[in-house]
Amino acid sequence: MESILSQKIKDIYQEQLDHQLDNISYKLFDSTLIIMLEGSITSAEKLLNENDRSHLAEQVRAAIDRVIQPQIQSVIEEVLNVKIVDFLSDTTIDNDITGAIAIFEFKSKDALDKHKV
Amino acid sequence: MTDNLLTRGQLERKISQDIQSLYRNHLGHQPSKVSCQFFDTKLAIIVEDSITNAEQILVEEGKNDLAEKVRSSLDNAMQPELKRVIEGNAEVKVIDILSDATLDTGRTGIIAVLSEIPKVRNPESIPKAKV
Repeated sequence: MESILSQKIKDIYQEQLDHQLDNISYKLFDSTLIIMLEGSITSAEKLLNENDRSHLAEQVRAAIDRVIQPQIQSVIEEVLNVKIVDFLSDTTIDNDITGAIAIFEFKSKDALDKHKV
Repeated sequence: MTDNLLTRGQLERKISQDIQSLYRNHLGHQPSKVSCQFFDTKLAIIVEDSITNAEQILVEEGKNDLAEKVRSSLDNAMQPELKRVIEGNAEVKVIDILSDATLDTGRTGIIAVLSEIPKVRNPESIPKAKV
């Protein structure tokens, strides 16, 4: 399950941003999935951030996240067979990391056993 | 030495209580529930009913953009205190704090990235993240 989810999230970054993520890790607690994406910042954002354009870099990241996050949300729902009721996500450009908390309801009773992370 | 340490659950509950107090003292608003969960060198925090009445009024008046700006500014303003609460209790350094809130559900999610796994009586109970 982790490898399918990781590949799909990597594909989103690759297809939409032509950017390769360094690492993706997960933790599942009850009906909460936590995802950490390392190396999520693109070269363009890093360049802006390093050249006194950090505010612009933040605006770019906010726009990117608005596009990317719903896609990640859909992928989680599809792979885990769940309905996400809340998706909380944030990125820090300096540390090149994105974290997300997905709170969901299971669509089927046995999904937890099938897809334990 | 180990006997003086809190268990993972005790430490998570203590941080949850302190965060509830933090909201009450700084925003005059008490969240209905704060839950904390350590995993690896991270601490995930979920704050239920984190949105103040003032922000709810803005949302009801259709001023969602302003409500989101207020929320984002409040979260930023509270981060140093939040960091102090985590560092003070867990006795580790907080390297990064990722935070987001949904006005509709009133929920705030926070992930604190720590310098190391906190010292607890039962460190084996802190789960590892799957890669």
